[in-house]
Amino acid sequence: MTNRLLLQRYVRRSHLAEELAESWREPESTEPASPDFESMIDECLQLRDLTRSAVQALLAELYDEQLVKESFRAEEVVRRELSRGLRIFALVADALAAAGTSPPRAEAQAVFAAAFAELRGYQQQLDDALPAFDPAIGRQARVELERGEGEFAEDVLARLQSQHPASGH
Amino acid sequence: MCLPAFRVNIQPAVIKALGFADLSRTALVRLVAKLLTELPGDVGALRHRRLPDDPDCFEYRVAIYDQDQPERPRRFLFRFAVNDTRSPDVLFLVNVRFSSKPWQPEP
Repeated sequence: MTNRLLLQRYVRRSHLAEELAESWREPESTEPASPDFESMIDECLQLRDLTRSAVQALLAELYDEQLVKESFRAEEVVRRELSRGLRIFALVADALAAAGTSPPRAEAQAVFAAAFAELRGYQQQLDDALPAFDPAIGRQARVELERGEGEFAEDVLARLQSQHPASGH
Repeated sequence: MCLPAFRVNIQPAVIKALGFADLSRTALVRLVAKLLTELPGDVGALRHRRLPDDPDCFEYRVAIYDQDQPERPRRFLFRFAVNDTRSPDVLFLVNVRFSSKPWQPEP
């Protein structure tokens, strides 16, 4: 189960990054020459890479006829950790902004900003793949349900199968 | 112990929404066939996935590859809201949402 291992790594890394980010905001840590500065950025980039792998694995599972039913657990984990990742990145971004700009810092900020944008992009990809239900359809269906207007699946199937192929695509 | 044999009942609003997916007829037949044959057997495993906005329903997902429109083969993900509280032996499909992406079938 590659995905399960990947998700376990993702969760561990995400928690570690959160701890680091929380403890990182000491003034001396955010100095560009500080080893903590480098390692915090590196940690964020590694978290970005794991997020990419986890989101890609989840999207592959969602569109896979055999695996889609197993996707709920993976979705739950990826959404939770992606949300944590965005919080971590926001925290680091604030600290970077507060530290100001100088050439070494500016370069790191640019790399970090690109990684942050990438993380937000994964959130969008998930939202696009799993959009919310349309309440208007639900309301209409409820009215139809009360009126007993639904069709049994076997009848829908029989109707579709009896249609001339030329009438469909 | 004899498990209940569920029937699957689809509301017209859901059938209409499925039409917007622009599936080939073959893929649509496969989708409805999956709902007919697989959903009743999956209820036990998936009914705890209640919808926060509508706890009378759980979410059911079906993925379909549509390769019968050769100019644009696509993968679809359908998510259904299934009401399993209204009747002990009928599953009512009361909402659907789909997303799709291009699919490059193996040569």
